[in-house]
Amino acid sequence: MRKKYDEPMFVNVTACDSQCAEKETLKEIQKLCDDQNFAVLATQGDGQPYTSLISFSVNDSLTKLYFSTPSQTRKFNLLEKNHLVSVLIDNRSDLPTGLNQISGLTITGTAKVLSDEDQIKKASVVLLDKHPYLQRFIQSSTTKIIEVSAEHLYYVRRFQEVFEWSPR
Amino acid sequence: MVSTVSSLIKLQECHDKPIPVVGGKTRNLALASQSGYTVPDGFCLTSNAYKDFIKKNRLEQILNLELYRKPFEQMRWEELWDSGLRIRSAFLKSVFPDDLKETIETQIKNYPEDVLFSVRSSATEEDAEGHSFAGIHDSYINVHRSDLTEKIVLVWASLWNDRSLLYRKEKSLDPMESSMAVLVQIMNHQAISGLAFTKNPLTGNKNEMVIETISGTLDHLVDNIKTPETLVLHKADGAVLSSTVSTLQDFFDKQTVLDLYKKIIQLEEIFNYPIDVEWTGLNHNFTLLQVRPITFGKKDKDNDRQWYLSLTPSNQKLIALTNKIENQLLPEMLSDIENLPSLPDGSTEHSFNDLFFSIGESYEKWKRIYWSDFIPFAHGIRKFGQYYNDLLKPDDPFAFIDLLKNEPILAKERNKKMKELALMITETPLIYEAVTDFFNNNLSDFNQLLENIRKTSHDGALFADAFETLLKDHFLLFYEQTSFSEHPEMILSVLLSLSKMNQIEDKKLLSSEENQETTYFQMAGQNNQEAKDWLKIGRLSWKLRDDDNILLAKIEQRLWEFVKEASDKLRHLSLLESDSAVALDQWKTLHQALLKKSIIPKKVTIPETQETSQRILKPRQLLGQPSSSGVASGRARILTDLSDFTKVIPGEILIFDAVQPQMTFIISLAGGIIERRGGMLVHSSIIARELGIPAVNGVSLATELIKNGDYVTVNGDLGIIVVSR
Repeated sequence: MRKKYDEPMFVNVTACDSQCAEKETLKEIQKLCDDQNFAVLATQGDGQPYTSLISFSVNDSLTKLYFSTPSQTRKFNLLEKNHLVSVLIDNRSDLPTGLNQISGLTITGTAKVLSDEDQIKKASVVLLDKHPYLQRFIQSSTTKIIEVSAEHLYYVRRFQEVFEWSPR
Repeated sequence: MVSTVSSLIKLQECHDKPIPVVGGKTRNLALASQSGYTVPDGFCLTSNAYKDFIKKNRLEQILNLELYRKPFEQMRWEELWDSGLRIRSAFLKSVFPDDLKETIETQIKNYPEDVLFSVRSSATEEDAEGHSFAGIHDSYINVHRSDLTEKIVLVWASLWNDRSLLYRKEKSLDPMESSMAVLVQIMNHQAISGLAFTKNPLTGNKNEMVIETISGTLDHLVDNIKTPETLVLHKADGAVLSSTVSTLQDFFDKQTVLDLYKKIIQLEEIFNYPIDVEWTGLNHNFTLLQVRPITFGKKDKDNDRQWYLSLTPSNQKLIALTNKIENQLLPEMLSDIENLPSLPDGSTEHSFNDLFFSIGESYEKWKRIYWSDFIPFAHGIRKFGQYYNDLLKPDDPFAFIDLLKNEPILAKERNKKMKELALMITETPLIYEAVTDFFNNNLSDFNQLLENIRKTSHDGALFADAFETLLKDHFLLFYEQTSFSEHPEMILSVLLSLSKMNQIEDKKLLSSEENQETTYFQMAGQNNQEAKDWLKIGRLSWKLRDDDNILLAKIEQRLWEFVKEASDKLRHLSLLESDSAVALDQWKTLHQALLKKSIIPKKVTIPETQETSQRILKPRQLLGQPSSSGVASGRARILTDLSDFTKVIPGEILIFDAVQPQMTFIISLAGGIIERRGGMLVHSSIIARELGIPAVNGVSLATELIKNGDYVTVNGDLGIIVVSR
């Protein structure tokens, strides 16, 4: 009998159990990755972190992230020396005023410079699907395509709510 | 071109201003004024003034933090109220812009010094067709000019009160986009006032006009303090169809009624939809106070919301309820509990049935009263809190709790007794050994154990007696289809755990509370009596809020004994299958079956299908609201039923779906508390604050996302849970 008093108050709203809440959250993360064109990549050299902006794409299961860079850049040199990287995808530029509406996905993992022709072709499709304007850039012989294999993913929303998972 | 809208516009000039600027209430009145109706002189603070205030005080981020803290649909009533209170507090502590203050002063300097004002909300979605926020936002009457700015701020803040938020969700109005204009007018005191509806608000009959009227000012009618006289008129010609006007008949001759009728009908023609009018004065004194579309016709079909709205009774209703509870309901309930019939020994079947029925009736009665009176009365705490905050403007909007928390609630009395018994275990090795031996060896004969303790020593006998008294006084309580008294070993195991804790002293801050009370009455100044009344309401409400569940559980307990006895009898007569479980609320069915010797059909229960798919996401940080300050880390212990109580190891982080007052004793063992049910005033946070145990509540899906044994940190300062495995 006390149930009613205890429960959320809004009518016509079905309460979400943990299962459906997870589905909703995963959808939200997928949407974040689809909606955002740019991300922040963190590389490191001699213990000094270094951040750069990148255009990125992810695969459907969020296990791989792709970006491209000319091979002369600082970030390329750093990740060649140390494969451990971190990438931040967030929507702060969409909603500059709302602390509670910002969400961010941090991916930590290993970067690999693709050299296999087949792999390069597949990754280019994923990248160009989202960034068709980068066609010339990506197909340039001086551009390298990087594949980041995600080890851990951390999703932050509502200022302080955090979920984590490991794809493997 | 950038158009600059002024922050103050004279009421007469508002007729052609957009509703988003002046609000519906102002515009409607200005339109009527434009057409020749008398309205009290005044001005409108436009939504621009509101936005300017918000911007200058950087309140957007506070609103954002409160309103998007968690999905709205997971918010409980009390959490919305908490948010509303924090927002109100932030508004009250903000600075009123100087230029706006000057503009207002210029505007009112021509009025006589002693003139009083009304300050009313004119929300920018309010009073438009389809969105009536009638009675949702605050309005103030008889405001002196020195209080104008504070009342304006309070009206602005009421854009974010709990009632308003409840409607906004359904009407999909974005709180971040909403704004509020305020209408300030000089008060107009007349001998007679009333309402008028150009369609019967009760029946929806479009051929009738209804006029309600009272002597004096209108607020007595709007707040349901006075019962109005009612006139029902034929809408086509103003003929009186029925009338209760008796005491006011001197005012209402035929000509006056016709004059009032004509004025209202002509007003409806201006708006072109059925209207609801507030007016004061008759004939040439007739003055229009408000006009808006009728929304009664499409009565809220949703009973839940009606019920939720009943949870915030007006001041007058609350005062009446206080008297009813203090002088009538509470003494009656205590007396009913005192006189509850016990299970008869070897009596006739007839007398058992009679007693069973009378106890069932008593249960139904008090359950009804719990819903209709006790729960709405809990709002007394909040009303007191609001009164306190308006008076003292404290940094912590929940500081008022300190003036309430020393009330002698039943749960506290129980916890005190339990501490005494725990201390006896600590100090008497023979008792300690007997009790640990019982649990270590998984013994089950509890009565034997108690006898053994009794025999150990004089102290042992004292302990055994005290334990029995504890059970009798505090644990004859029904809880979740069982009774605490059926689980004495659980109580003893909690006592044993308590005895192992070093520090189980309450935080005593008596002197600071006394200071706080002195300050409270100092600030109240000449309103001493009012302050006294609110404090009394606050304290009674505080006590009842915790005690009512316990008192009701005592009645449930006795009914439960009868239900069990009745089902035994029915099983014996083969009218109830031996393995079929019974619930408390089935008492009527059982009673009838005993009376008529009829068979109780077995309930067909469909087993719940449990999907057990693998979860991918692991919670790392969860959000709730900080309900008792401090930080604590430890292993998680999820408490779902009574059997979990015995597993609690002192210092663990206890995780609940919802904590009832019957079980708050377990909180003494906790290192920290996490609860799904949210609210600064829920039972668990009251006890946690008292014991100085960090607590976070309002954590959605807490018992599902956190697993037994997870290492969790409760941050009771920020309302954050950190989970590591």
